[in-house]
Amino acid sequence: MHKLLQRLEKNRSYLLSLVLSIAVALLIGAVLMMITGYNPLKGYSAMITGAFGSSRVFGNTLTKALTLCLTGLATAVGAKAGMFNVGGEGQLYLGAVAATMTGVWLNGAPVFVALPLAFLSAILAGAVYAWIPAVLKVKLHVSEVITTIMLNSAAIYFCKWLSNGPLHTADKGVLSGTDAVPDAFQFSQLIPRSNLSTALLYSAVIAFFCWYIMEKTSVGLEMKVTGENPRFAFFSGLKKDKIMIWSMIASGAICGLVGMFEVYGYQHRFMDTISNEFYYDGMLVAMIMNYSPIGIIIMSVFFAVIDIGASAMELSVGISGELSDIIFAVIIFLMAAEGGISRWINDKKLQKNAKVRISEGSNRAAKGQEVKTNG
Amino acid sequence: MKKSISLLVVLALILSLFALVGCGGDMDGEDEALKVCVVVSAGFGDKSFNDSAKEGVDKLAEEKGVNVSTIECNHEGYKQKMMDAAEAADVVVAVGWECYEVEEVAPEYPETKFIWVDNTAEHIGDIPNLLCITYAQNEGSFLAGYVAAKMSKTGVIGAVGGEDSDVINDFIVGYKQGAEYANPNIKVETVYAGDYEDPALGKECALSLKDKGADVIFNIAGNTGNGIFAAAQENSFYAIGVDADQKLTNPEYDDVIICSMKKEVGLSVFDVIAAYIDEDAWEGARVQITDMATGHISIAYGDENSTQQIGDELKSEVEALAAKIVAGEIEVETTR
Repeated sequence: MHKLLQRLEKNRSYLLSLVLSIAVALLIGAVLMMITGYNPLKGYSAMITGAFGSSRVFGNTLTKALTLCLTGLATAVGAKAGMFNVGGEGQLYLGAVAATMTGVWLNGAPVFVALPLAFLSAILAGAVYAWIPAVLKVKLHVSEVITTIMLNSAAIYFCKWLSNGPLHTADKGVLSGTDAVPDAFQFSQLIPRSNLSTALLYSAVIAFFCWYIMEKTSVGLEMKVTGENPRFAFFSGLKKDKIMIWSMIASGAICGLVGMFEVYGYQHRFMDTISNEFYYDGMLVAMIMNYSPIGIIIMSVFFAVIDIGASAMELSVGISGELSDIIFAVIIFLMAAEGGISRWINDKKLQKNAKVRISEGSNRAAKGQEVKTNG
Repeated sequence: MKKSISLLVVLALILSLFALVGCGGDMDGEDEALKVCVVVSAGFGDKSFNDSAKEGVDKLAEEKGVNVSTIECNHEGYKQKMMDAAEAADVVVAVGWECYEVEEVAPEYPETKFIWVDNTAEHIGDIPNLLCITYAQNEGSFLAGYVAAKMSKTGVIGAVGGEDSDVINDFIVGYKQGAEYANPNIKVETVYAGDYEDPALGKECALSLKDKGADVIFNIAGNTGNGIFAAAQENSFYAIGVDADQKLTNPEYDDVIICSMKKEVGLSVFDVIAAYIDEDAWEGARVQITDMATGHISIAYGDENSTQQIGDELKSEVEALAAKIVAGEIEVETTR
């Protein structure tokens, strides 16, 4: 507990500006609701009920949170070692297709054979697709930001083509999508009717490993050193290339798994709308939280509440669900300005201290005592 | 440090106050009116398919006093959003093929009625609280093709489809057949945009058809089609609207939209729910086919304020053809 307080103390100005950003974003949301003629109290309470009101929606909120959390952690794993993986969306798509088709093709095989293979295929698909930009970056110094963005489109369109073409299902009514994963392989539901499945457990394991490796092991430290200063890492004798490539591969593998969880958890088949830019949402969560694993986990829940709550709000109060995007955007905007805000808070604090000291000084002077200037 | 903690506590208190006050607030609105919720897989604002469904329920609100709510899925979480709707409403209208999981949702909420427009559920026969409505868009498209071929000067006409699907292809086969009925030598160029919500893409598609010589282009792509109209205006060719009477929904393109193939999704939804309210009539577990004979498919030319590019002679020809289709004298091909 003491240690935790210490850490909070260390990041005080950051946390303060985070809380302020969220408060301001919610306030702007409230003002928008008022302008459009709705009662913000009703709106926000509908949002809370919409996210926690029944076991079904609670399960959905958790499911959303784990998607955000895993994609956020995937970003963080790369970013810690200085690899900014913007290509998670593509890795997610490929992981989803690979895992889905493994399941579909292994229909009839025992679960303990099929499921590990599905995991493996998702990991491989994501990892290999992340490995390409990683190697390009390390060997040829091609910016991974650009290559991953480009590779996103390639992967997404490739998967779209697969699901509309060679892998298109014969199921009636499904215009664009693959066959469904056999029931036996799908993750079991934890809450009836909701999206929450045993993906929760797998995600928890992944999240734990991410946190443990990044915060508690020497590998994590090496990643951090490499990310902060690759030259220093090199001259310290770290294998920086290897570290960078492997952190990117880990990032891609997690994204691949997220894709698999989307399918095996609740969507049951690959459709080209499998992810509605989920990776970008997670990436933003990670950036807002400065790539801190614990922070990402907490923030994911917050954003999940807003996201899931918003659609319920639209239904029960009539406020457009896109309000969640606005709140999200404002928080990001303000956090981008976090540096400035922190400085502003610090300046204020210094000014106040200075004032106090001046007045103390003048008091003492008035009492005719000697003024000491070392304060 | 202490100060910031107290600040946090105050903030938490304020927030919890929000939640508490809110909880007491939503007791009103408990009247007897039927609650209808429209769930669209994409979003509203396409001035075509989705908006047409919304129009139907808005008309219900006006005339029958039903309580209308909407959910825009924005391509995410269709199944859960349908469940949200089912828990809040008496009738759920699902719009878009992505809502195919309505088959799984409907049995979970047997008290709620579900209407799925423009698609057919696989096990429809086993689900008494689900009604699918499909449309004979091929019949209307036949007329659209006929008009297009007659209005074309180059002998080439085009169509931009939203995606390569049975429903869209149903439009296209009708369109082709109608065009060939008017002019056996006509060339029909088609392209799939792959997106219903990208006017810029629609514009590109239209221009590529224009390059192939097409001078009348049929919009079969919802909001994407709004780009076709823009392209038509800039390059002076003609366009044909879809689903709604687009001369009225898009008055800024009145000069290039010569007519619209009206597929009255809204009206069909209105009819079903109105019958349910007035006569307590509900016949689920089936597919209701609406076509030209039932009055849900037609060619529309705007109203008296609209520019009329099509002469009365052609209009009466179209009318005669429509009568022939209704009578079964002309059999329009279909992919449904």
